Amino acid sequence: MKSITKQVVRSVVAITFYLLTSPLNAQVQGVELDKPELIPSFTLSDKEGTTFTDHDLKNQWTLLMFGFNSCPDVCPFTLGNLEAAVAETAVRVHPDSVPKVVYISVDPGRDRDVVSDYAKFFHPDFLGVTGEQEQIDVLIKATDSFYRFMPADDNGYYEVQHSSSVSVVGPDGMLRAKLQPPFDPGKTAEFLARQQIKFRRKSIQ
Amino acid sequence: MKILLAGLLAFYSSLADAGDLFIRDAYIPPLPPVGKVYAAYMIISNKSERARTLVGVRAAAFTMAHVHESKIIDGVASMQSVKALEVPAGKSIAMMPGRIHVMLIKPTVDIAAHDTVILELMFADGEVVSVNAELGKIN
Ligand SMILES: [Cu+2]
Repeated sequence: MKSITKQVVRSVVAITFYLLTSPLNAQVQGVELDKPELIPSFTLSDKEGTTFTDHDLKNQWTLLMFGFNSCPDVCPFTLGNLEAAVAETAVRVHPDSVPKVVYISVDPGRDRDVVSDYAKFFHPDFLGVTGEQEQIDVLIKATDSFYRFMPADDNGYYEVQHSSSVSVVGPDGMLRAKLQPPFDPGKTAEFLARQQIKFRRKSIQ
Repeated sequence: MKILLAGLLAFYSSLADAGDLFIRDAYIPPLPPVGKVYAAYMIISNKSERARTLVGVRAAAFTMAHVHESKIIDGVASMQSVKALEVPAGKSIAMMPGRIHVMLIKPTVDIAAHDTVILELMFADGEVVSVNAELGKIN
């Protein structure tokens, strides 16, 4: 009888513990799309004239992040976390499947000449591009993202509100998932590795 | 001796002690040289028995300094100005990435990694507390 009571107490403690901790464990790092969507054609570039188009999405995994260089808090934090997440992913997947991070500035007016240097600072393999506003908008629309220029202050500084999620594009050029802040490196890597396994299984079928 | 002094200075500089307001772990994450807008983070502790309110920050090394809060609403990241940041009696407030930060616009001098940037925190009662934030540190 005593041991049963103990067991019940233990289970209650375990359940309570589970309930208390599960919301943290269940913290969403990524959301898979019900139906993958093809990214239409677009052309972006950096100041050296290196282009980044829909063709570059093929045969590799790509993480697309929108931001602007004059973003002091969220963008550097996201880029830093993506660097860590990609490093974590690299230990889980084949070297050919390590995702390419592409940082897209939605603020070409200020960032055109410096966007590639900005991205490379966070990792030498990161690509930083921008382009004509309408070309940026093609990608914004395709990834169901958003940005908006805010009015400038007395010093001419203006903020650009922008989507915080990161788009995951598969080697077939299809948008397959979205990553969400805080981009915990381990959990994000887990999510990406799982996406890749699912993708391969579907490709084999 | 020089090294020892430098060490001591480094130790003291990381802590700002102004009676009952303690500011620690002040840092500015690294940015590429093309980056012009920085963020500073720190922990402000109020050891007194009354609430204290941060109403502004001055930073001589930058054109502007603002206290901001980043928010993600419906998946969209934005920043709001924080005109008054209350630190309740006996409590601490932590500025951290993705949350409250001191936004520092356009350096007025050449700054490089491991430089210390002096930030002057202005409180509602007129008190000004200086803190040294190390540039290029990641917490
Ligand atoms: Cu800000």
